[in-house]
Amino acid sequence: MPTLKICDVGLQPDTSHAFHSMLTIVAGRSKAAWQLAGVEHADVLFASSEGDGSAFAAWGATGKPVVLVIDDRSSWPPAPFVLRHPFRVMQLLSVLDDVADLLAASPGRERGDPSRWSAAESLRALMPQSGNAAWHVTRTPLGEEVWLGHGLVRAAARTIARLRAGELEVAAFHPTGTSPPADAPAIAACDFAWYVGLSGPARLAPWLFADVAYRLRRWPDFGRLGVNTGMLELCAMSTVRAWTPAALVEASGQLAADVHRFLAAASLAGLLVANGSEQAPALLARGRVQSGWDRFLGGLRRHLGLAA
Amino acid sequence: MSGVEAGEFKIVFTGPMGAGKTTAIAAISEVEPVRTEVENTDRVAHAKESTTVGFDFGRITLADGSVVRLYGTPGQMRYRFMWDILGRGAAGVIVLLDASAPGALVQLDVFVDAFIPHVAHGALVVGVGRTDVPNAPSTDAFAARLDARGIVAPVLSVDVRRQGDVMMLVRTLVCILGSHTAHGVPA
Repeated sequence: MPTLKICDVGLQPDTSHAFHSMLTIVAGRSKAAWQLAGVEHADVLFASSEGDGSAFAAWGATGKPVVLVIDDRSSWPPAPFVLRHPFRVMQLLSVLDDVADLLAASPGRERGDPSRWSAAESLRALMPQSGNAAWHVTRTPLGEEVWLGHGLVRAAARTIARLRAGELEVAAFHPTGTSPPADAPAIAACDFAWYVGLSGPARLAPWLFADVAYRLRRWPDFGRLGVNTGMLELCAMSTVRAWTPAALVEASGQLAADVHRFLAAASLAGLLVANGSEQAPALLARGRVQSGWDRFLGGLRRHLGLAA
Repeated sequence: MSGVEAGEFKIVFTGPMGAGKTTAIAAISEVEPVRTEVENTDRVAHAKESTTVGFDFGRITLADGSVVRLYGTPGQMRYRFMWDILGRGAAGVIVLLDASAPGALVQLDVFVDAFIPHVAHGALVVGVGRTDVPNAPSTDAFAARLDARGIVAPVLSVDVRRQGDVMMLVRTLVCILGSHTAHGVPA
């Protein structure tokens, strides 16, 4: 029996309490073992339909199956998994089994994937105009607001900290007529875009092409963003010449997922340019006799804690 | 002839007075840096008490016994003749700037112009301090300045009092050197 994690979001306290109680009742009867989890680690969201719809859109944009909870006065919404409150055990069990079937049928899916792409795609569209005065806003699955405008991203300090740690999921940005709190901490929009790219899915971003060579037009400020050795290497290589994604993976010896995330981050931050469809030539270093320079660089790299 | 073939691998720290060159070398040198500092008589340019007039020198010894020499140039224009002497044969150059100093962007041009001819592999890294001072230009402004000149070089915000930041500059420089060696277009 698979174990699946579920999180209730935006429910009224009594509805949330009822849901938690029912989960214990369905334990052992469902096709999956259900565990409560935080929203970012959940496989499934159990969300309220109350509000103006933007919250539910945010949950939906996470790409995780959403069980939409409606009250007994609401009309049935056009959503795949709907449950009317007050709950009945068998109805809850039926919905949970349907969700378990869906997840079992797509074991390879990257949960949370569409949300990250949708946020990234909206960022791509907005970055060229991110300096404009108009604000756009998105939410994390925890309901934290993240604002984009004036060349900045504003959010609560803890939200920004989670972003820097690669632990933040956000949905697509949408226009808003309101403004963020004036004292909300800010980071540069391009820095935000870098982090969103780095925390994205493992595969090549949909706006990048496997047969196109890319090079760096400008380095990210690692003093501001934080750095690891792998990123330094990829930036250095991408400064020297343009690489197709596959060629960069091969030449760098890094995981494809890391290279793809680097490319997504660099492109979202506006640091990457396409350089035609040229293939990177064969590596000059392969098979050649090490010169004194090579040996020296190898020694220096080891001294500095870089891969030799 | 490369510096290595000549038995010397040299990294040069340059930049205007007060940018932190001496501090940066001291942060990573395995020996007490050799300094040629005298009393600063140009308190208009910078309020610090002493300034480098010859050069600073530090050293890193690698496991195989080879040595990386770290040179810091004087920052004042009147000692410009030392820049060419120290820059010659450099494997790479680290330009340090103080974003809060007047004309910091112009200083970038001055030092890039002076040292670009000496770095064969484009091994140039720019470290910018005090970017958090109100109205100081951001690292993006410095990077844009390089963009306009067709130079793709890292511009990193640093605090050279932190060894980790100085090591980041050196690691970045070495990564660039390694990439040019392994993946660069042959001359």
